[in-house]
Amino acid sequence: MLEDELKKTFEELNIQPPPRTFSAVDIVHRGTRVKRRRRAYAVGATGIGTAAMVAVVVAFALNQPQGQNDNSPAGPPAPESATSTPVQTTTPGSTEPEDPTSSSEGPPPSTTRPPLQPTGTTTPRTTTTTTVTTIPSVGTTPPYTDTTRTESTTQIQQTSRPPQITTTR
Amino acid sequence: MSWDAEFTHYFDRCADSMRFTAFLLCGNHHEAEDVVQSAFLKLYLAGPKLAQREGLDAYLRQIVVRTFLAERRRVRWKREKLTDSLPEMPVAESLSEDKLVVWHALAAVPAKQRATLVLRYWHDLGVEETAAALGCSVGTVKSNTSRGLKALKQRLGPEFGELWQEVSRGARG
Repeated sequence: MLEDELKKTFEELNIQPPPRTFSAVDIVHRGTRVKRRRRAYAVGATGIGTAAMVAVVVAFALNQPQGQNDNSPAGPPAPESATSTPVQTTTPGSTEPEDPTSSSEGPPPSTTRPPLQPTGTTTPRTTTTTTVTTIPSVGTTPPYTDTTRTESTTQIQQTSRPPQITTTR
Repeated sequence: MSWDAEFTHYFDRCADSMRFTAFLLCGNHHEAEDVVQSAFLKLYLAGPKLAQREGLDAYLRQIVVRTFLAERRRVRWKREKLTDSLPEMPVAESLSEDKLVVWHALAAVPAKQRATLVLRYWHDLGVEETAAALGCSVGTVKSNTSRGLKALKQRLGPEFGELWQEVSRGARG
């Protein structure tokens, strides 16, 4: 019932509509202005975005370190000290004195090697590789003055003597 | 046919009916003109992107209703504040007394319930179509219809039904 009353009220209101105050041409003009304004905003925003992106890329490129920009080809790899360094081994059997010129003319080819490595490798080998190969016979005086050899001969003499039998009464 | 020519043709055909729908929603002609202009402007801007032009009436009706609801939601943020009701009431002259009472009672119904009543009882839309136009569920449309009619009855008073029957009898006799 109230619904019917509503419908009749609406119909009665629609009998004398007032004249329109706008037309389709007004809407089209307003729409054209809105479209133009939106296009201008889009163009401006795109330009600003592009400029910002270029600025970021340029700033990033300028902040790179200069050493990494060298485009020259890479040289041969430097020889490592553990594999290519010539080891100077001096055995006591070879009594030839070291040639001072040969030692001086053998610097390592690489310039980037730390300076402590060649001295550390050559010095201990001259002292630790001494070996005794001949054992002198008992009773003979050792012709050598090396302390290690004298110790070894005295030990041999002590062991090679027959045990003395001492009887205590 | 270009979109401008098509839009002009469509405007001449539908502008009055949409303006009256906006008037039923808003309650005055000034606000209704603003709502309809905004709605037609949105339709003009969205027209070239529309894939199908068959359901243009329903689409425009949906734009009008949603623009009206958005305007009502935006009232509290508006800079212009109305200190009094608008002086123009030409509707009162064309309405009979009982219809005028109904019209004033309808002005007190909340915006969304009023939009539901207008869509359902003026455009004769079903519940699903009204829900699609308002962007809500079917249950919300039903509850809004029920609450809107209830608010209208409370506003009219319990004796309105008897008065309405007497007026109807008098008009027939």
